[in-house]
Amino acid sequence: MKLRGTLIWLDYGPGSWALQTEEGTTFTLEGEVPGGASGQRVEVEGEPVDDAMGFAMSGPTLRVERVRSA
Amino acid sequence: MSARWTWIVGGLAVGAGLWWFAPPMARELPVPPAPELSAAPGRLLVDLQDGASAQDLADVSARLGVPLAWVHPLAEDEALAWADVPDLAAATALLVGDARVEVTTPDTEVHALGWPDDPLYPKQWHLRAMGAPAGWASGHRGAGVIVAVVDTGVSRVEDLDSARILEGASFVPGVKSARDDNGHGTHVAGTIAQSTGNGVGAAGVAPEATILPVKVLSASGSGSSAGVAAGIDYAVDAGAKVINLSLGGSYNPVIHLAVKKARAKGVVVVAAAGNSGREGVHYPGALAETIGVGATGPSGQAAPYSSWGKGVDLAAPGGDTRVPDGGVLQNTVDRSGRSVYAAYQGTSMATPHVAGAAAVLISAGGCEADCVEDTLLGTARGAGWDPHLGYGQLDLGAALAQRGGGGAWARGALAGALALALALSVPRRRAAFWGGAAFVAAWAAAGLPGLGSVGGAGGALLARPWLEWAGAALGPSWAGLPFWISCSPALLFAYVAGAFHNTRGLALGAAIGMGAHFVHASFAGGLEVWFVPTSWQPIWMAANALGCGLVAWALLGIERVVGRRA
Repeated sequence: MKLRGTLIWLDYGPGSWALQTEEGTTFTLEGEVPGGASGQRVEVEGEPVDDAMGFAMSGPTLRVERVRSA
Repeated sequence: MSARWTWIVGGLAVGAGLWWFAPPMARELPVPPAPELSAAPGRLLVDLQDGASAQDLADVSARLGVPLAWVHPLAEDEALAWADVPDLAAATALLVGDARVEVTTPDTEVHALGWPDDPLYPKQWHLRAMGAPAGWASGHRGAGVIVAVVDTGVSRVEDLDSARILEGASFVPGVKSARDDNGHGTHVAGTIAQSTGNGVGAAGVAPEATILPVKVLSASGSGSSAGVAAGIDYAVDAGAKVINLSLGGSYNPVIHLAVKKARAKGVVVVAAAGNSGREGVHYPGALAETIGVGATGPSGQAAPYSSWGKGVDLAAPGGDTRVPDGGVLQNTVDRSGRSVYAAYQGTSMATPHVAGAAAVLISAGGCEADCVEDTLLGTARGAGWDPHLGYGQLDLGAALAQRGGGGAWARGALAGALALALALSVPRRRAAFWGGAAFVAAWAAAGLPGLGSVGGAGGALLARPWLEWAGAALGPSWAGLPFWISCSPALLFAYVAGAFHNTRGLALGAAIGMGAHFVHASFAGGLEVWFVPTSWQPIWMAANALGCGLVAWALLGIERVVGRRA
């Protein structure tokens, strides 16, 4: 699936990347986000992971396949 | 009986009391046990013959199979070297009879009495806010209790005792070692068991607990439910008594089953509430079988990010990094694996404060999973259940007081005996006078632990020693209020109650009870006053013990004069 939104750095523990969608959902991003910057508008291609566990605990998890500037 | 005989009998009674109660108090002093040589991994200290060369060091390293390093550049003359070895007993055996080696010993920690000398401790507001100093002072520091950190792994950083970190296991596909490649798990382990009183870095809640690293989250901080469930099963089989789950996600029946099995085997499972800032607690924190932990900031209010609602059982400090020095500060690793000290926030950071407190309670003895949960929830500071804070804020001092730990009984009995002996020395004594003095002295010094479970918020206050009332009423962050941690309350009480013959015995008891607490605190810690540097804390306590003694002496003097006249 493709989602558009804003890249945000979640400041919990050592921190992790998340995507705030235009609908207001926060997806924790699993995987690398090379060159990402907080506040950047992006389009993320990836798959939601239903059984994901993590320390971000801020919303559903999306396994990232590709990130593009939007 | 003449006054002289009363003094003699009283003195003998106090002496007998001291003799009788001294051994248990002495046992509570944290005397490091002789190191046991086990097959566990750890740091081995090797003292080479004085004047040993770099070649000798290299040769002994080769024999040992791991590189030895000088403990300190200045220690080269002393030829003192160390190495982290996979098996302490085997490594020691390898060096037996080696002429270049004078002596070998596992590196054991140095535990300061009372107040930790860890340089970053003053910035660890979160430890004071949940009553960690009461745990250290009680002498129960988690010894012998395995706490599983089911997380991103745990790395052997400088301020974690290598001898107390087990090898652990990884349940992340493609990752063999339980080493931390993120920094989250090591930070969590630090809150639980950071080496304390070793003059290095920061402090932890239960510094003598053993950490079992269980890696279920990858370097990016996420993992699968199957991995978490397998990690919980592994931790139970490996003998963990407490499992820390600073992680969460959606409900998963496999994790639920693993948690149920852990609880059935008497394991305390502590889990984070979540960081959404919204209603809806993440699983496994929302399960009835876990202690779900919400986060508070330095102000003691619920942190804005803390998930809330059904499933929050307890609140603990999780930090607020928007506030200067408002994070939870521990030793961990950065992404490149270097040891760093970092202040983090999150319900992930709140959870290990509870896990550490559970380890302290278990190490105090006589309390297992259900008892630990009942005690921690029952003594939390709060008025009933609240969706953000659960049953209230974690308070280890109150939990130990309810269990009668922390030297309270011995301290109370001593103070009571002393007050009784002194009160008996005044002429025309009355049962109300000496009885009141002895009772109040014991109460002021030790609290009335039985009241904690029956009396609600007021009972919880009365259950504590009087010098802990500021912290008990206003929260552990206020425990160091200088007016209260001084002989001022005793003086005030003497001024009010000491004026009347009927209540003078109570004032005498208060001064003696608080004085006894100061005496105990001057060598064992447990009380901590604001604005006074760590090394001066014992002096403050001793000076106020003396002050309380003077108040008691003045009250006795008044009673003698008035008693003769009456």
